[in-house]
Amino acid sequence: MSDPTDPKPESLPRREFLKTGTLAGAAAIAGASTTADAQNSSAESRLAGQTGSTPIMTAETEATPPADVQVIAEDERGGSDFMVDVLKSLEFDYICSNPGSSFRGLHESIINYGGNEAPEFITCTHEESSVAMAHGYFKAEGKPLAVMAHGTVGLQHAAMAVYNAWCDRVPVYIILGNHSDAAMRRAAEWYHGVQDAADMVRDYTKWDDNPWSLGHFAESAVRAYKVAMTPPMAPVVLVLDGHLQEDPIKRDAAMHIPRLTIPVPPQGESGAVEEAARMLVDAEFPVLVADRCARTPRGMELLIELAETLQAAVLDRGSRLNFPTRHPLNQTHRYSNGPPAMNRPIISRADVILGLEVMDFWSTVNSLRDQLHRSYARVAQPDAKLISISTSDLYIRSNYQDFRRMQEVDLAIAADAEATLPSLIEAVNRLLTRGRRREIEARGAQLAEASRVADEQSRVAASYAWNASPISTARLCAELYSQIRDEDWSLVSSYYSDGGGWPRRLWDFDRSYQWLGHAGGGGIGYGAPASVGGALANRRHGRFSVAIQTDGDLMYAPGVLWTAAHHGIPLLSVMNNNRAYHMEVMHVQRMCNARNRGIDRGHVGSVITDPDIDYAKMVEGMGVYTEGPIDKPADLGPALARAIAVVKRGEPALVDVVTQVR
Amino acid sequence: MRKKILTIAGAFAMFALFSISTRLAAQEAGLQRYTASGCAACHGASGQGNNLGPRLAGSGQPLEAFIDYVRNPVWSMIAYPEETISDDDLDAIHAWLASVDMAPQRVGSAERGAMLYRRNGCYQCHANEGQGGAQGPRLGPNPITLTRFTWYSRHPARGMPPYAEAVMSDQDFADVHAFLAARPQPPSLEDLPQLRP
Repeated sequence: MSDPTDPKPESLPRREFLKTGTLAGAAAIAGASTTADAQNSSAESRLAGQTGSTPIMTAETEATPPADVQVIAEDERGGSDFMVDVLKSLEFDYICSNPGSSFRGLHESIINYGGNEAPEFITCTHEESSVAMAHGYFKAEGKPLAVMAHGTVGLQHAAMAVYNAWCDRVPVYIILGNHSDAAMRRAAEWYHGVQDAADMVRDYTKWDDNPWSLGHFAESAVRAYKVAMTPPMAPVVLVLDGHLQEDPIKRDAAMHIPRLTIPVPPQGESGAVEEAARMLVDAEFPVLVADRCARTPRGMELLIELAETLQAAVLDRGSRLNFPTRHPLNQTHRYSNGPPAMNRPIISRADVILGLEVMDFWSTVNSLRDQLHRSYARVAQPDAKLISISTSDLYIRSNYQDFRRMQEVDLAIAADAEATLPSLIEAVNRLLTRGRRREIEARGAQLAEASRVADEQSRVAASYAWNASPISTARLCAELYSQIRDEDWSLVSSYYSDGGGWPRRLWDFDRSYQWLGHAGGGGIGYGAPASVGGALANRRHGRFSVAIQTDGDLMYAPGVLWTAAHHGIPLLSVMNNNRAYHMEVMHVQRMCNARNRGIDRGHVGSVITDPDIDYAKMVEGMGVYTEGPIDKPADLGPALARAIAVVKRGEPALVDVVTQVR
Repeated sequence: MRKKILTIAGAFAMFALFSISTRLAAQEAGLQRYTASGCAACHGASGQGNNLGPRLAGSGQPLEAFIDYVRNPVWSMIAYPEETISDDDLDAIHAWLASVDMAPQRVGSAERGAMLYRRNGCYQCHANEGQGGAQGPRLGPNPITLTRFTWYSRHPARGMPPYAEAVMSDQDFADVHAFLAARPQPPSLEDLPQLRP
């Protein structure tokens, strides 16, 4: 019995179609072309003697009888229609793509057969934007987006964003088009053809496959979703052959779509969890460090419960919003006016440190000094006990070094932190005696007072340079928050555009979608598309999306703001336009200092001036409402108010603010 | 008799010079111990205090009380036992803290300092007005003493790049210091509704 999904029986007619396609196309328009004969004859005479010119239609070609014109039979449908059935079963809301011929079959099926709904085709102007949109979308919605791209040129464009998603352990569902059969490739498909499309991203994706039949596709598509969504989450790739998409199949062919069951994330071993609980209960000053811990809103609730049960200090490293910024036990911003310095005062006091999905535990308890001769020192007490609960111990790759420096710990629990928290809380409650609870109450009161003081100090720090021009990043963040604080807001910007840490120092974050972490891999160009992706997710919930958008980041792929305008994605982008890649200025300056050559040329190569870029004008041309450039502090509030009104109407808006460095 | 008087005077002078040099050496040792022990993290590079710890310089606190507190601190300060830092070292730190602000100050130009602050990239970490930010602490207004400002900039304790004499002269630092001292005080929080909690 033959496999009804086997594409081979349909391959011959398709080849005949390709051979005769040109003639068929000519025949199709022949009836309307009689009046063009004279023109053609004239043109033919003008071109006489030329070689290599584009062939023109002639009476002779028009006289050629119709060829073997092929359209799909009534009892058939395209193979990509079935692919859409599979994608719909996985409940994708959107599919982001810059269109490409290697997936034209699937494209057509999505917009016609699938009705361009669930998934809806989102037109992107760059594949890096497609993937970064999916990255931001997931962190706001908790669901992956699908992305389509050419297996060659599209994936090469997308690669940086794939790497960011990998480092951030975010699932992105990538579908690549490719024509595997070299004998049947059109000319352009040779440039777009590849033996092993997923190879170039295999080091930073979790799984990939190249299905050879539709049945194979169905299994791999469901498997890919399952693999991507199982912690540690990561991007996956499916390579779809062009013929598999385009060849017809019988409408009544028996096709099976496997049922999707997402595996329950692994919980820590009970004995190890009990030991961790005992260490925490016995500690005089336990510290909970969370990074990618809260992968769902439930994760934050659980961390609050654990912290309050223990009356322990919490440090939120910010890859997700793990803990409310104004919770009395949140000690993240208890530092003097300046860099967090890895929260030295808290870490150095701890006798037990619990790391919950901490991507860089080493730099949490150590400090590296970036001078001419680098050195490092331990920040934590020498005898402080370290506990790690992380899925990073379950999966690691070799080539790219995002696994960071190895940190020796006293107890390593290879498990999902959020899934482990309930049993850890239960164990802690079991071990906490009434007397011990009384003892730790005083600790909580001291932490609460320290947190209150830190909040006050942050506001005082923000008041410095209040009336300066260019506008301070603190004032930008304060003006912005004062106008959106009563909305159901979501800050969809990245690490690189968080206004020097001011939002998390000044704003009241207590819902997981209010802070979407950062790029993951440090690839600039993430902020703008991830913001649009986050705003796309927020749109259905009626949330107010705002991005603090840096200029260097926007210049990588500004076209994503056209995507926002085209698809009616409401997003307020407030430019942190400091007219340079200032982090790089600082690095070059560091070299200048170390080599005693003077610093006055340290900016060369890293500034974005002469001419200054007019972002308002640039983005206005894409159909986005704009304000600015604004460099006077007094002008900022009214401009924001006007832009906010536009966003509330369901449109994107950009306010270009000329700011200080960070 | 005159010769005897001169001899005695010379001896006193020698003793005074010896005492001064000894005291300066002790103060220098105290500064080194203060920096090496991480005191600056909570009490500032000049012992002027910051958000984490109180001012220590010129506090007039007796040595015994100072040592007792370091050994048995209350609330958030880490205890420094004898094994970590000796009484002699604490004595030196105490002497240095008592000496802070005694050095003569250069006179700087705020106008030239503004140019140098920008040209030498200080604003990269400390922001345009010295108000600080994600990469560096606030420098002004009310900067630390010029002596400490210059010393720290030449010998930064953490990630800050060192500013050697070839890059910035002492006068350059005096000018930048004057610029920082001239930064305006911030408005009262009560006048800034944008910063309400």
